[in-house]
Amino acid sequence: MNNLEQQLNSLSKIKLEAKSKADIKFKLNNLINEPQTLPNPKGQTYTPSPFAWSYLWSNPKLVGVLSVFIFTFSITYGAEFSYPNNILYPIKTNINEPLISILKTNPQTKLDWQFELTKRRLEEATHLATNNTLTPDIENSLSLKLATHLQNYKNINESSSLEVINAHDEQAFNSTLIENKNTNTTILKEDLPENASRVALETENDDMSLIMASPKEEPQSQRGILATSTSPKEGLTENAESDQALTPPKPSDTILPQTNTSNLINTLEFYKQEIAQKSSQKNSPLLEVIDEKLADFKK
Amino acid sequence: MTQLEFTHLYDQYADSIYRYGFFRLSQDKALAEDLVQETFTKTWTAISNGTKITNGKTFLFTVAHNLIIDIYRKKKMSSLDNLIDSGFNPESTEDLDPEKKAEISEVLKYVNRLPDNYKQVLILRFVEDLGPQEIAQIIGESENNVSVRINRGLSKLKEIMNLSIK
Repeated sequence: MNNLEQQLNSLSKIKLEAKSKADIKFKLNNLINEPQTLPNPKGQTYTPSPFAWSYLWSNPKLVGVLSVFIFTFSITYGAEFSYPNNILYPIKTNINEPLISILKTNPQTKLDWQFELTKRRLEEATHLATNNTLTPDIENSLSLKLATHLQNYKNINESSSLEVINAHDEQAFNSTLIENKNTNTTILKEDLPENASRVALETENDDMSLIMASPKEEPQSQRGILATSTSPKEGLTENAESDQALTPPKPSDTILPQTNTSNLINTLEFYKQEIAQKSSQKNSPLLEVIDEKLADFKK
Repeated sequence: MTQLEFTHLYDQYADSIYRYGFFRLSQDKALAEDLVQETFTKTWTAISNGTKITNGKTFLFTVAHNLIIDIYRKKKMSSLDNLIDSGFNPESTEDLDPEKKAEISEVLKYVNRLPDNYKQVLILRFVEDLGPQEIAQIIGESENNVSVRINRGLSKLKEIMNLSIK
């Protein structure tokens, strides 16, 4: 070590004053003995950082996927609020709505969706008519779409109603058979002579063989009805309790209530008035479609 | 690191940190004392949060170095050149004989004329006895850079001393 370095080293004689050193040590001891600052013996001290997830942004693939997702979501969401004169409208009608249609599997939800689509088209037409932006081209396009939705509604309504009615018919038919069997057995027990009671007991399980074995002349009308009855009302003259069960279902009792169609009719009539008031065209194709379909539904 | 080890670390290096702060913070005694306290507090907090410390001395000097940078940023320190002629008031060397005090005062006078980047490495190298590798780690420079800076600093100090003698 040369002289210069020795001289520099002499600076190491400068020290912290003893009192200050003790004061700082005391403060540090207090800090050390604070329970919340004690080191975890397992070394598991964990303070969640607000930037804990920031490392995700360093992954370009993830950022790309997220960006595409956010962009797609924004576009499709924004399209839901578009009108026929907007650039996003084709996305609404050609992508969003068909996709939602695919997700509707239940006849009732399908029907509701077609009703919703009808309302959307009518609302769009009303909005454009209010703003005087309902051009003939747009109106034609909307009327075509409206006709399609209403036709779809009708088709779904009819096919679903038939299915439900058929299902109810089958159930009613089965109930009728069971009731007929019970009634038949009761009547035969009362009317048969004693010597024929054995036959009656043996034939409780078989209506047709019971009738064939009976020696006494039964009132033809009653027997005939019992033997051949498939109509619920014919076989249930004496059984009031089972009256309800055997009554064939009406279309109004199905899962597709008439209120749906009446709602649709009300909606169509409402928008018909709105469009007629606000549209400048006298022979509006939209109104024609509405009139035609209204007549169709009212039938 | 346990509480006992930390206390030993304080006893061992409190003076070194004080000196480092004292030289770099315009020989402001109060600021240097604050630096000591803050350095050890931050070190203990780091230990509490599970930071593994392999070299206590280097770690302490790194914390002190960063704190000094923060202080520089917060306060505009008075120029070191202004202190050169103000002389050294060796309050912390009361137990030393007058000859030694005079020697320290003289050396400090020359050291204070050095640019801060040279002064910093010379103090760490010859006062605190740290190797170029440790200094490089503390100030965040390459080892080669630190060695070059130490040699240039010494040359510069010689130059200043020779000029003063002439």
